[in-house]
Amino acid sequence: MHTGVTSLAKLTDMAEVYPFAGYEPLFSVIALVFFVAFIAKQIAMDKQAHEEQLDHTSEAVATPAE
Amino acid sequence: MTDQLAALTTIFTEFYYFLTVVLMFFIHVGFCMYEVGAARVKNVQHTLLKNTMAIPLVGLAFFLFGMWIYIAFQGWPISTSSLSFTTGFEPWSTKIAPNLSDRISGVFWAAFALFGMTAASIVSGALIERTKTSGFFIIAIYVGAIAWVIPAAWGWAGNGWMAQYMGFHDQYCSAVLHSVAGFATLGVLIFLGPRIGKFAPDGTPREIPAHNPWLITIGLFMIYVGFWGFYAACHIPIVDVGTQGAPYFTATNIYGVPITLSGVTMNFLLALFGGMVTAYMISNGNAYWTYSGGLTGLISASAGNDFYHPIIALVIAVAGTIMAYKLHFWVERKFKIDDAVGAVAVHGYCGLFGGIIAGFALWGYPAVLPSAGALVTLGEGAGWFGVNTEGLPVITPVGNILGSLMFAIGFGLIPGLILGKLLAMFGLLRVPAHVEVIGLDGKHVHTTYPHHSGTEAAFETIQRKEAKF
Repeated sequence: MHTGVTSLAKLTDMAEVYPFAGYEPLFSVIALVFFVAFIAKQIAMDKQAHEEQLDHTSEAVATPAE
Repeated sequence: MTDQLAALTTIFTEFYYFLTVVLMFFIHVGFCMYEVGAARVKNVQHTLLKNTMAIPLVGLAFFLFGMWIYIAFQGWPISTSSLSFTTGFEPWSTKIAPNLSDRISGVFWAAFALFGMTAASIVSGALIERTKTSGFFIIAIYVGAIAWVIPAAWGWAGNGWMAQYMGFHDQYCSAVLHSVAGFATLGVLIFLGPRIGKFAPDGTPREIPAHNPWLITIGLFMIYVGFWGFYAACHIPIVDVGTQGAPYFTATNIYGVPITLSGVTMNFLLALFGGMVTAYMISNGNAYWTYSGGLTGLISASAGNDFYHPIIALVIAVAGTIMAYKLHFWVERKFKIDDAVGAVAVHGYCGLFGGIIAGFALWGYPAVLPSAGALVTLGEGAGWFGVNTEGLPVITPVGNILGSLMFAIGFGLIPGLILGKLLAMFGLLRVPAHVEVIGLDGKHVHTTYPHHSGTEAAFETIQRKEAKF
């Protein structure tokens, strides 16, 4: 790994000081994938948890919204 | 930075926003405690995690697109017809990372992201004990990173077209954030329906007791603390709004108009006092409403709390609190709306009320102050509903009424109804009735309070056996 920053001699000229500067679009894609995976996993977790509680039977009791 | 004055103001501003973010986090501690306290034991863990996970969820959404919306939409579609993708807040921007040429964008982003998380948390409490987390997540992304952000871009920025053209004023987001989140909650609640047993067959609402009133108490106090941070984060803490020959350093509101933190402090407290005392009296000492009254008072006065006299703030807080208390129970009985924590009343009704009343109380006040320091530039033809002698747009009742209604209805209620309908259609809104009755914590219910459920005693039996005690 290399930050690209090797000198602190000209502080007034410095801007980005993090490693892999220039790869920001790739970083954005990583963040988006992580975000979507989070939501997808939550939907799957909800489904699994409720099926467990229902003991895999269909739910016939009406809720007040129905 | 080589100029000493620029260095001082920049680093002070950077540190100021940094601290506001820390303070605002107390809002989320408060919301978590409040909702957990209000939930029944069988739903405690679900309630806690649903609210907690809204923090990273909305934060990530804000990173991906929320903050970009706030900057890009400020002039669109009135001042400009195009949306910029070089705002500095796109997720691929180099400014929101360690960058020695930009010390403000990151802390500024964080303050706004915390506002967004707060908006999502407002919805969260009302839906407890019967909502699927996945459904809530989708609602949270909309409310936290889109719904209030477009109104904020338009009406809560010095360069926002509604601030400049309509003279819209809402300094601490009564209408911009609270009314939007509150009315979106109402829309979702209509399709979500009440908790099973909430209403008797004749329609009379039943009290569902909170499992831990002390958590509610501490939670609401935490929200008060976080609200201080929210107020602080709505300012530019130090900026030169003068001219080149006559500098004038001051704190300003979000519109670049000079304010004093001293005056804002007074107004914050008097609005809080007005709401608490009124709720205490009108509810005959009901603890839940007394604490919520602090919030109804604050939210009712927030739109103009940068300029009100403290007693005006108090009077508005009193009026808003009475309105919210009466309206909450009327709507509950009339429309069978089960809002578990009163979020629609506290945030929705008070937010809308606060936005509208500010238009009357601050009538004629300059809405924005253009300056190079605050980066506010006046658009051509600004001030549809009136300008002052210097040509600055002024605050008017019509500007604030139109803006507040547009936000509450257009960005809150109607999208809330649509989201509620769509989520219900796809089976993502409400848990099955069987799950609701057993409790959303399911097989984990007994681990919430192991001492009371017998789990702790059972484990001790194993310990005694293994230790041959």
